[in-house]
Amino acid sequence: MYVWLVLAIFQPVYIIYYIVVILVNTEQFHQYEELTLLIVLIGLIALIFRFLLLFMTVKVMKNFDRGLREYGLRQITPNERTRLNADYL
Amino acid sequence: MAFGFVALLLTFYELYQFISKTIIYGFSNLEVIFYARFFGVCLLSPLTIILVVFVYRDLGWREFTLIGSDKEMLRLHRDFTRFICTLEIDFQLNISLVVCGVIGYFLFERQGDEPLFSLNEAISYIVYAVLSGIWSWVGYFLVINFFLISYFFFFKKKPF
Repeated sequence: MYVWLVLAIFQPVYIIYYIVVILVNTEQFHQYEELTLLIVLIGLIALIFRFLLLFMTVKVMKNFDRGLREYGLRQITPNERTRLNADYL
Repeated sequence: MAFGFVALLLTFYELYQFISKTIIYGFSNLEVIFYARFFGVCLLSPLTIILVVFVYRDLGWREFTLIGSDKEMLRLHRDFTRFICTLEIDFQLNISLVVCGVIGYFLFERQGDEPLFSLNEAISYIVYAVLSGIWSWVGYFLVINFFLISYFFFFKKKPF
């Protein structure tokens, strides 16, 4: 899990690098203004969502071993199975 | 487990799709793709909204069938579903970034103009898409395992 969190750094670094490249070489990218604008916008939204994701991972990691696992692992009784089947219909 | 977070996932995805589609629609001047995209937005978005409404109305009952009425466990399950949703949206944004980069090479090369990115950059974008897909897949299964399977791997005993 921690290795996975460390690997999460690369995407924001990549996006910031590309935005800096676009800002430095404005003449080259001026020809396709719409696409570069789109890339910068999507990059910024992706940055926001990456930080949201990190926040959510911390929140979820705090919830480990609090007893939610049992609900995923429990055996479904026949009574509950009929109830679920009725839910599908 | 899957049915519990499908509704939340769809609502978040729907919001993201609307935002991205309107942004693309507003800024684009590509005549060929313009009409196809416009009809796609007109036809598919209301349909997905209707489906999301139908799924969202069943969400409470599904949570109840999965978790029960324990408020603490419901809170934990909602945190878990929100994590899955943000992971999904993150992956979608990565893919859209990659699509922009690939368009920057291939489309403008076809038109005979100087391409926005080099071929190496286009290839690196595709490699990046694959890597980010693997990354989010691994994260999903890590969290799922911490919630579900690690009991068998780390504690070697039955939950009940």
